[in-house]
Formats: sequence, structure tokens, C-alpha cells
Amino acid sequence: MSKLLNADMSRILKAKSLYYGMFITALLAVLFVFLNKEDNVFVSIPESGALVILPFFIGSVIALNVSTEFTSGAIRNKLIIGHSRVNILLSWSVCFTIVTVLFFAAYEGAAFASAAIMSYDLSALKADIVLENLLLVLVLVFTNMFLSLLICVIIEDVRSVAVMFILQFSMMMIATIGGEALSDSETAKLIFRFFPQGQMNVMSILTAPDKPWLTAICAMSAGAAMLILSIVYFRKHDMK
Amino acid sequence: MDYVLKTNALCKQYKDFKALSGATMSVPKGSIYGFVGRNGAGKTTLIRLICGMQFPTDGEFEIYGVKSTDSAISDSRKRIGAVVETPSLFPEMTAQDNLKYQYRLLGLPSFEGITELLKLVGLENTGKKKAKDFSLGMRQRLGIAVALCGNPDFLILDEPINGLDPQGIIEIRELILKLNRERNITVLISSHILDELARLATHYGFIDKGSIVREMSAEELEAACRKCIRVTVTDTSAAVRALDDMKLEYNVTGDDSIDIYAKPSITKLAASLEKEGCEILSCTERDENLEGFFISLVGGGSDE
Repeated sequence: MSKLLNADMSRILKAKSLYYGMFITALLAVLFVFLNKEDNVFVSIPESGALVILPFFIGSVIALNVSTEFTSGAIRNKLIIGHSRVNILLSWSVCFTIVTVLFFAAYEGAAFASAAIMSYDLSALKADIVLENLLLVLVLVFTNMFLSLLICVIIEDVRSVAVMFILQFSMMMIATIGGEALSDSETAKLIFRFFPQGQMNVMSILTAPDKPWLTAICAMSAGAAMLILSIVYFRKHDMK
Repeated sequence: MDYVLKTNALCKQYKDFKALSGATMSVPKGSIYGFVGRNGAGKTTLIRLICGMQFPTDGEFEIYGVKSTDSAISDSRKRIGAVVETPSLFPEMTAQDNLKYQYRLLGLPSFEGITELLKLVGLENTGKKKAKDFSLGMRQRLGIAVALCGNPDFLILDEPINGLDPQGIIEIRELILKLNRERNITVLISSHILDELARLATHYGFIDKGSIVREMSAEELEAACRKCIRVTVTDTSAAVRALDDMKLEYNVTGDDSIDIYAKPSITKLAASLEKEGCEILSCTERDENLEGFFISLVGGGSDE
């Protein structure tokens, strides 16, 4: 496993797509802060704004890396020299978790830094709320990451980027529209907590999340389920 | 004889299509095993099963005596290097970076040996050129270099000369011979370019419709392909008596056919057979090569 991690991590960190993606993400964060200067958006939720695009960028990096492994045949080399399929998948999970943290740091870092530079009034922010929201966003992007990984493992080639975009966007719309239409139903609310895209959309339109701990638990269970599904599929899947 | 690989009644079913139906083969240690079959005969499927990319529907195989059902099979696979279909390379990386990646995967403590490997496959001067800019032959050689990382003692090459120009074919051939002779690496090489295989292989396995139809050594193949005269006769036992009298080397190949490994006077042969009451129905000269042998073994129909 450590050999796989070392090889995968060194390759991913050398990939230009990672840095392009992080740069664009940071740029969008700065842009959002700039465009909302008048509203002083940091008063409500610090990590809001262009947040909803974060999973798409992370998903793209995952899709490009995983599809390269399949199409170049690199995954064959891993199997031939005796690495188990579970270890291959777990190594990817760890690597992309690190990638997710890097993107998250780039986005939030750029947002906070630009807010400070643009003289936002950050005095109203409470450290515990900020931390809680940041952690919730991190959990939500992790769940999205596992969804992206599952799609990439199933689709195998670069088409996974398109499938992932469509699926994530659909889930976001279902959760957002469904959440508004069924706002009185507690069951519907609970179900939509399993849709991290919808939750992130809610946060990105500057709405403070209710019961963040419950959303985090639901998102974590969804992420774990997706990881298990990926492992089950990948273990039995014939590769070319 | 020691065997590096043994398969026992391996089967692989893809939905409605049976790619392998009880393939049984043995690859002797130190050999260059030519794996011969048409397109779609099951060569690549069998290789994929051995390499762990796919799972057999039935049957099993052994690599260095370890059964495929044994958890230690992944350790046995560490002794294998393989190029399956296309070389497994990252197109955006240089030759050296591709080898470094493989070294990391293998957990090798240092990158020592990379220069030697690149030299071995003739890619030592590629510098910062990316693998995507390599010619097909260069990619193939780099694929072999990647497979050789970690000093495997069993190399599996699936159609390594497909699409190569004559110079590329010669380079790959010389490389394979070098690896086998100098490093004592056992090589399983699948191909349907039979002339090329005939220049390399010490052993052959012929596969057709998912089954191994024949395994033989190069010497056995040579004997089977010896120049001879094939006569079809009305009475083989009478013909055998006549041939024994003439002290000719022969082989009865069928109910009515005999291969005679000499150049007898046809007049004398006919007279001798007539004396025994045997009539010659036909007489043809046979000078078979690997291709002819393969066709006679599996028939000359279409691939599909």
C-alpha cells in the first residue's frame, strides 16, 4: 500500500491538471469575494460563494487521473506486479483525499486572503461557527470525491468527466428543487441531506445550514457507502 | 522439467461468448514459448487471466508452483513482467520517469539500474522526450523496459511486434533473444506473425477456439515439418512392407497416407508397391513451415 501511495502521490503531484484546477478554483473564490464586496458576504458564512464548483473541479482531476491509469494501461502494471485491487483503490482514495484538501485550502485560502485584502469586515465572524462550517464543507467535498471515484472506476475512460458533471449537477438540482418543494417534510429533508451537492448549493447561496452535525453524518455515510460500492465493483471487475 | 506456468482447464466466459474453453498449457523454465493462434483464439484472454486482470470462470493456473486460488499468487506475480496488448506507459512522462514510477510501485529503494535498463532497450538517449512522442517501436521497447523493472524471471509479451516496421521487428527480436540467453528469462510471446515466432521460439503452444490444440518443442516442430513425400495408397500395411524392404524412413500419418523422409526414385517406389499389391493414389512433395503446420492443425477457415 505504501508503495502504491508513493507512486500515485508523486505522479498526481506532478500533474499539471492539479495546479491548473487549483488556480482556477482560487481565482473563482477571489472573483466571488470581489463581486459581493457590497454585501459583505463573510458576515453569514465564510466559505460560501463559488463553493458549488469545488466538487466539479476535484471530480475532474480525479477523472483525468483515473482514466489515464486505465487508458494508458498503468493499472495493468499494478496488478501484474501483485498489488491487490483493494489496495489500488484505497491508495487512490487517500491520494484524492489529499487532492481534495489541497483544493479546499486553495479555495478557502484565496477567499479569506482576498476578503482581508479587500477590507471586508470580518469582525462579526465567530471562530466556532467558521470552523463548524468549514468542517461541514470539507465533509461534503469528501463525499463528492467518493462519488467521483465511484463513477471513474465504473466508466474507466475520460467520458467519466462528462458523466460525473451530469450526475452531480442532477443531484444538486434534485436536492435543491426537491428541498424547496418539500420543505415541510422532515423525511424529504433527511433524504436530501444525503445529497452533498444540494447541501453545498444551499451553503453557496449564503444560507446557514440547519443541523450541520446531521448533514455531516448523512454525508459521511453516503461517502462510506460509495467507497464500499467502489471496492465491491472494482474487486470483481474484469479489466482490459 | 521445471515449469514457470501451468494452466489447467482454464475457462473464461463473457456473457454469451466463451473466450477460453479448458485451456491447458505448460511453459518450461528458460524457454521462449511461442503462443500461436488466430485473432480471437483466446491468447490475450489467457494472458489477462495469468496477469490478474481478469478472473477465470473455471479452471486454475499455477505460477512457479503457486496456484491461482492461493493468496500467495500475488507474490508469484511479482516475478512476472508483462506487456499486454499495448505498452503500459504514461504518455506525458519521459522514458526515465515511466521507469521511476514503476520502481516506486515495486518499492525499490533507489533508481539504480534505470540507466542500464534504458541502455538495454536502446532508449538511453531519449532525454526529455515524452513517451507520447515515441515511435511505436520505441514505445514497445519502453514497455518491455518497464516490464523488466525489478528483474522478473518470466516475461509475458502479447503481440509485441504488431504494427512494427522491419527494423523495429529485428530490434524486438534481438532484445528478446538477449534477455533469454543472457538473463535466462523465460519468455511467453503471443503472436500471429508466425515467421517471426519461428525465429525465436524454443517451444510452441497452439490455441484455437479457446483450447490449446497442441504443445511441442521447436525440435518436435522441425521434425513434423521435415521435407517429405506424402503418398496416399490403397493399402498402408502393404506399403509399409515395401518401404521396410527399401529401408526408407517413413511415418504413417493416416489410414491411407504415409510420409516418406527421403527422395526415393518414384519409379522404384511405384514398382515396389505394385509388387506388394498396393496402388499409389497420389504423391505430393511436402515442405511445411510453421505457418503450414498451424494451418494443417487448426484448418484454414476464417477468423470469425
